[in-house]
Amino acid sequence: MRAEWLLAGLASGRVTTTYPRQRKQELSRHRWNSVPTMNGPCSDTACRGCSEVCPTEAITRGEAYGNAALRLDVGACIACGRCVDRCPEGVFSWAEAIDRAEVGKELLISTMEGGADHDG
Amino acid sequence: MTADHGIPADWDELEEQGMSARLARYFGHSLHIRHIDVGSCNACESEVLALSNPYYNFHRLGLFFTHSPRHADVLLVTGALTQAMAPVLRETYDAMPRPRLVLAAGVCALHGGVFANSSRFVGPVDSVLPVDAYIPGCPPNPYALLQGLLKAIRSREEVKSS
Amino acid sequence: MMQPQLAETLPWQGWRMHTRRDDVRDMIALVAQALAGGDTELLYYGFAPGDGEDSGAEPARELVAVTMDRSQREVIWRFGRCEAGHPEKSPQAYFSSPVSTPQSAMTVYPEFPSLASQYPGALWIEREMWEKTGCVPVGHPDLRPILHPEKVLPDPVARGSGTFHLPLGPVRADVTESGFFLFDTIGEQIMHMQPQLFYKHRDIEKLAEGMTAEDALLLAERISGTSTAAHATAFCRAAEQALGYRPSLQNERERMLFGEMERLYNHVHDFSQIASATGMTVAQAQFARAKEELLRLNAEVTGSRYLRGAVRLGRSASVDWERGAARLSAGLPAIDRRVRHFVRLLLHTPTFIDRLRPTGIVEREWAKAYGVVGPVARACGLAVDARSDCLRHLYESTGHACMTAEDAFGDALSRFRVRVREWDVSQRIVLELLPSLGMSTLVETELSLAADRGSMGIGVAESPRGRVSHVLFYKNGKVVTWGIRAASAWNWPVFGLATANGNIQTDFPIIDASFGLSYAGLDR
Repeated sequence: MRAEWLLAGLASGRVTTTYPRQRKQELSRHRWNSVPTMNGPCSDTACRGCSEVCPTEAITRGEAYGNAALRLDVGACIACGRCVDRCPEGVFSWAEAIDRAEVGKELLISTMEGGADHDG
Repeated sequence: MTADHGIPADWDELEEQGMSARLARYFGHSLHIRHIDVGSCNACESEVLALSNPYYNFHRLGLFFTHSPRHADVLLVTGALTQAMAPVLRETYDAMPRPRLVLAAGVCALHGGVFANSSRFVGPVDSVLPVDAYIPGCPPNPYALLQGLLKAIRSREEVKSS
Repeated sequence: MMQPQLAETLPWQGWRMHTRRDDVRDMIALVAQALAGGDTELLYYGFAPGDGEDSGAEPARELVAVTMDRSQREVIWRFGRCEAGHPEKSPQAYFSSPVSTPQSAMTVYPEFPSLASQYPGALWIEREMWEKTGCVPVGHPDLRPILHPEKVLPDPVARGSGTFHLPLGPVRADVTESGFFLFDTIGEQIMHMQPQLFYKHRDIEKLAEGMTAEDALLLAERISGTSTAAHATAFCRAAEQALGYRPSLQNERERMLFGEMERLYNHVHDFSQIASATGMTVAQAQFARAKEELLRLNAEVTGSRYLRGAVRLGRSASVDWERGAARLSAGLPAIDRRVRHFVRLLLHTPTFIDRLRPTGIVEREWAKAYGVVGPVARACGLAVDARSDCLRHLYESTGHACMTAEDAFGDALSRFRVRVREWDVSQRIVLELLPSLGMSTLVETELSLAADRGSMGIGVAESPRGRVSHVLFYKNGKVVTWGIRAASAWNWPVFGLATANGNIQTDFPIIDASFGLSYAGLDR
């Protein structure tokens, strides 16, 4: 019995990640829905779809942040994926850097200048 | 979004080298983490526990869980801070020796998430304790937890050197 | 009085469902009588929305108890109205500083006869009801506050020379949820143990009032994070019943599959915790590895490691089943081989068996009296499994069998063995279900979220820890009252009894791991 345990403990291969070394290779294997990210500006300044479906007000848009600007606070995001499903322009997608973490709360907020006139 | 030549837009840089040297300098290559659940749904605990499984094996970085806050360098807070847990969180923090780091992990600890409007919710963790790193996600996956730890250590170094 | 309607569509094929209104005394007596019979189980017990809902005057005073009679195959919603007038027994009297309960200004509280005096399974439920509303369960044997652990902690029970009182928690060893335990010990022997939970009470049921079902589903997923799919499924079934919507077979099959995927990773997590508690570090690491692989499979199929967002209201999951089925059938066998190998090694290791064998015994009578569910009940030889009673029409084609322990000893080893047997059953169900998924080309009927007349529904699912049931009262497109009974809510009161059942201090981690309870599920 003891021999079997010893064998089992020693000979079952290595699975350990090298993270944070070779971070990109490690993370590119996983497509996990961690937090959303914004890909580009939204051209439909009248649409409020994303901010309406967001259950925790992590997405806001409107005058407070520039005319059609979008503001995404992943610190308030529960990863429900509604914005990803909802946006017809595909502004939101699941982040590929699934290991997002910041030292300041404000660093979790990103804004996107809106409107077709601007080149975000 | 991924450009095949390299880094996606949401990719920031993380210094990969020198982490173990830092750990050695500040915490003797052994950083002890006390986890505290202040009102989570248990998914965060499951992810925190995953750090010690063979896939992430955070012991290789010199990181360990500890039973007592008196032995802890890091307080890892998960969950929506409830009224019942608020005094317990304070006591745990006060019991820790200095220098100490506080990590808020998961949207409930950062903001409250779906529980933000609950009558029993006190507030985000940073409204009661100074927080060194914020780890978003519902729940945050183990990679994010690792990055949060590493960034908190690095930021502490920057504060020291400035 | 608001008269909630039962929807015509019943998700439980072959079952009858009806409502009864009685005087509250008769109602409690009838429920207690039915529960004593043995074939009936209590699915839900709590307050129903009262007439104050429209006038805005007074909160709920009407009791509802939903019982399920397995032999008659019927579900009865029993309503009973509380009578006015009990001058004292305010929960406020126990607190030095006031807490905000709805009737804190009132001095006269309504009363109802206690069900807990006849059915111990209702002990904690009635304490909660009393503290939330001030309505007094007359005859309750242990009426103490339960929801405010920061204000009131339990007193020791065993006293006398040589007794020692050991408080443990709420912050305790390892990465665990927060809960407090008070041990009364003599030497190593545990004489009595009282758990004090609700440190993580987030008042989810109250929070959901006025929400749409879509938004409340997000809360349902976060009641107990490691039973996400089970709670979401139970909630969706309750909401769909209230809305008069019958989910497609495809939709139900997906939910069953997610439920089994959840059971697989939870059971292997419990294996890992039991191995850890008995010092079997190799097995612990190997099971933890298997758990991570299962979580990664979950994410590959649904995008979420904890199956968040997979169960949807009135819609099928947005999953590419061709790819998902391929990944699952490719990934599972290797994990299964490893888990089986280490389970076999453990069951042939005398030191492991010795630690588990007479540890933390749940007596069969306790399990019946407290309405214990899940692997804990099945380890006592009770065939309690929602998949083989009210959900049988869904599961009978999948090769599901209710797995009770062969020896029915009710101890930690029986619980371990029940989970081992269920590990096999769950995999069989997954492999049975996979080919039928993603084949349907039927366009599903659109679910309308607006139910103008008041309506109600009950949803049941079998989580890894046992049966979860959700009761939903819905009106004008909004949640009026939501009742949640997580599996652990039934099992927690027995945990203290089993811990003090002839065990010593060092048995506690093993009992803890073998129960595999969720704190968040009870606390809500």
